[in-house]
Amino acid sequence: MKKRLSLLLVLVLAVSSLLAGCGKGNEGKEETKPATEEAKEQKVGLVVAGGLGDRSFYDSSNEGVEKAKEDLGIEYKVYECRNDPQLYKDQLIQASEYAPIVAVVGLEFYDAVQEVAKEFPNVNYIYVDTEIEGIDNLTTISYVENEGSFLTGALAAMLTQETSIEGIDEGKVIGMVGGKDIPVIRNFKAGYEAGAKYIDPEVKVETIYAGDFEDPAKGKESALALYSRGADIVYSVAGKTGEGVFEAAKESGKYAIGVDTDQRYINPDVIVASMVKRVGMSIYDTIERIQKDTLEPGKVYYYGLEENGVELSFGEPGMKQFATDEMIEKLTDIKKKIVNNEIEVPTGK
Amino acid sequence: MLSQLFNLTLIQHTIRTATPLVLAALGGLLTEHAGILNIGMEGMILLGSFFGIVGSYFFSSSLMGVLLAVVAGIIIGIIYGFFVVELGSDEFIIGIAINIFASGLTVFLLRSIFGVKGAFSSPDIVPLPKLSFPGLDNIPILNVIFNNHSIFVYISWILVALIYIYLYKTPKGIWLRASGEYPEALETVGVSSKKMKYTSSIACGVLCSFAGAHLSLGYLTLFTENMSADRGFIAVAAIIFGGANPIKTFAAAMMFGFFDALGIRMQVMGVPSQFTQMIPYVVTIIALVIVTKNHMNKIKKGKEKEEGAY
Repeated sequence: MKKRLSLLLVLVLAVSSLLAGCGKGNEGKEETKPATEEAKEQKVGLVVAGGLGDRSFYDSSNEGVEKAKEDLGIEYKVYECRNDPQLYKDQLIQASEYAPIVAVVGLEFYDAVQEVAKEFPNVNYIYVDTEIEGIDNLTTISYVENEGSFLTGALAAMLTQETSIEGIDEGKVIGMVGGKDIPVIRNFKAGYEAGAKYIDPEVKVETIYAGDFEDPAKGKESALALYSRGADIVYSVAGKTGEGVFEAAKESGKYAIGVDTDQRYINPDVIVASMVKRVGMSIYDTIERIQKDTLEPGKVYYYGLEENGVELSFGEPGMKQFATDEMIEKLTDIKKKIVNNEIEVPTGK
Repeated sequence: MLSQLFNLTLIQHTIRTATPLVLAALGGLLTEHAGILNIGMEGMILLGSFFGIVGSYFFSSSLMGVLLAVVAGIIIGIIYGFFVVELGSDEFIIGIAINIFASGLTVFLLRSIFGVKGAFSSPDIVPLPKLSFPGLDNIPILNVIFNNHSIFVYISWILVALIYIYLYKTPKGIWLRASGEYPEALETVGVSSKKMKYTSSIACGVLCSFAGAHLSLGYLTLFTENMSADRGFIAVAAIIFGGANPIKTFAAAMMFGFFDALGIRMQVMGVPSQFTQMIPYVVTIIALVIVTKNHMNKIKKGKEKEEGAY
């Protein structure tokens, strides 16, 4: 009897915490009121592999649909998967049943989204951060992160020679902490290194992959190792692991560069800039295209410097700026050259 | 080249990485001696991390952070004990339940208390103090190794010694071990084995909350979802390696920390990350093989002796 009682309690515990994890996902099911064809067109489901609150990628996509709600008058629901692979397909299907437009964020969905897209031919899928061609109702958005990282590398290379800034030493070493050694991150690295070399071929770029996107302690250790080897600025491309990079920067009296969203606000004294992927903007754009019927489904849309899909961001007004006007000028110049194809940025994919 | 890899900061790095493992493993080995293999440590660490941040943020005191973490540790220890000891449930299922529960609860509370999702950091979180011993400043090597660590690093070293003495040199330690090995014998001398198991379970909760508070307040000053990042499971591995002996377990945890630190350094040397991230696991397998082989040899020898006696 006692054993049964405890098993029951365990089940209740497990189920309740699972529900807490994907609370929003279940709301989608409740709203099954019959909708007319037009009203249906106004709904968007946003499916993310992790959870909102990463102060980065997923939050940015949420801002995009939020903006679409205000400006384009859509309704939306967010489906979080909390990095649980078992939920990927379920949440995709839930979102597909809820809305005719489904925005999908996270490389993890690569297989699942292709399967589900075939099951729901009437649903328009917007899949962010990868390239898939040939599925009629699946549009992908690819960020040219190596272009943005080229600017980041250029900025870091200029800053590491600016010895007038406190904490910057003579050596020309800069670093990068990557989440995992995967194609997207390698693409960041390729651009970052090329950008640094463009400013000064003598600048040394050292990279450590923490092997995890959710372990800030490991991020801190990795960054500390880079700082101890003379790096003045570390580019953090590692999601929540990156929070540890910023701590390491503070502790060592050195600097860091954020990623995906403008992360300067986390600690404006050590985070000098962020390489922003305008995930939200690109999702917003695509929803607008669908509404205006100008979308070419099945196509890959590229968002680079030219489309303002990636760019360097320096926080809000009032924050202490480390990049001088001269540097900004130089960066604008480089950006122009990349857009005009005068500089070719290598890829790491 | 090698001097860049093996230098004093490597030792520092090892100590920093290993301390949360040491603290959690010390807790887990107490329940292990009481006959319970606690895989719920992962969740217990996470709760400690979270409540450490809550206490430190709202009371502007790292001590309050630790106290709140300890209270959470005691409560979760009692809950674990209640299910496993009182109700006789399967220790693995309860362990998994605690992990899922902790993960869900911290996500939920993070949203409802701080209004954020994913990560929380603030200048108002007071970190735990770092200690330095004035006398050691003048000796370069000892200075690097022993000075300027967060306070829990030293506490963990003291605890290794205390728990060793407790387990092997005091009557209560013998009771604790007996409660796991042969509870009936313990009952015949009038000691409740249930009570000893409860004690170990609560102590484990407290030590895991130390590990968590160290992670969120000593090592970092922030909380992110699932920041325990499998440290609870590595602590289980350290206990098994060390045969639940505090000193050997400490050594095992240090070994994990060492190879983690070494892996990060080797990447800078140009070794591919896929290889360096493999090292701790390869070492785990090799060590497990050695441990098991020694164990088998002992059993074999024991059998031969028994046979010889007849």
